[in-house]
Amino acid sequence: MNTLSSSTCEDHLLAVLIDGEQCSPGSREHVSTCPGCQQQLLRFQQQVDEARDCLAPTSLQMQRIRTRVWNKVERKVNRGFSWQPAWTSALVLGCFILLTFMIPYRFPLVAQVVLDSPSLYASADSLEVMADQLLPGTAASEPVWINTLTGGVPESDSMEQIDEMIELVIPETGEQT
Amino acid sequence: MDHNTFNQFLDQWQNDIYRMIRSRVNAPADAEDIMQEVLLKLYRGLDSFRGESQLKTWMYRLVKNAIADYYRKPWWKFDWVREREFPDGSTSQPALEQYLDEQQVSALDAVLSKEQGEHLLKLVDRLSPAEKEYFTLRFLDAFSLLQISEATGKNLNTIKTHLYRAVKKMRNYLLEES
Repeated sequence: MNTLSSSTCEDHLLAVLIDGEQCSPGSREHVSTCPGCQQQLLRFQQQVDEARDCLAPTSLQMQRIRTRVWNKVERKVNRGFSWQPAWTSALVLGCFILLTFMIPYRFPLVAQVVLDSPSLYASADSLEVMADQLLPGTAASEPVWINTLTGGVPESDSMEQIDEMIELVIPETGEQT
Repeated sequence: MDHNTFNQFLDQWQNDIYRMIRSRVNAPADAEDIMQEVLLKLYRGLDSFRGESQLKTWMYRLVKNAIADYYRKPWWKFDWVREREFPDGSTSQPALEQYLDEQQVSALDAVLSKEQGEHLLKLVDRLSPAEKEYFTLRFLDAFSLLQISEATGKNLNTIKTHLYRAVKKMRNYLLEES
């Protein structure tokens, strides 16, 4: 009996295995007549078939996959929009950005009432409103307080007032002499 | 494409497609997700398939791309609500009893056959990536050499060389164990 230790057998067997129907007629003939090669070929094919069976889906798996596919197809056809987690995350993120940045910037009063805290982007107007609420009357009567907060120059301090203040501190030397 | 035509197509090809995926993906749950994507692409693309390549070759490319896409997919695109769609809630590989019912074989034969098949698959995993790919295409996916060449875009002689090496290695592994 020929065995696979013979290189001729091995070559023929490999040719039949790999090339299939396209292999040389000599190899095909050899394998079909050599009992050792035939045995090896059958064993190999049997093992391959078993491996293929292992990889095949079960009917339950296929049923489940088909259901999922049809669900997806129908969802897209009927609704055009599916409520995916991605959409939800985007919506939540959008709302968060809007609440955090846009509302305090655009609507400081809303921010003050809703969020109960001044934003980094709060304008001078919002500070004025806050000051008015905290110390009623101070915002209108003491503009310096607001201006200190906003960093501006007091409107009531005109150039004449400043000159008078300078004269008080440093009297004009020219008149004395 | 209507449901009946696509169902008929699935009846004919579903095992081949699933096998193509399963031989390249270890986790059955992942294989099911990828299979779903492949079937959706087939559903959308079958009407426009012009037959420039063979159907099997085209499906292989779809499978390869779907596997690559699946593992590139960011976390927020995963189908987290998958289990809720099915009343049975099972996503894992079915139990042996069910396998036996479906295969209609005796328990001992089934166990032996399954073990031998799984053993061969483990040996295939020991091959180099290229050898594994060509071996899988040739023997598990039952592609001809020309189909492999068309699907992978590789030269026929290169494929043959890899296959010779792969089969020889497999024979050696089996001989070592016997």
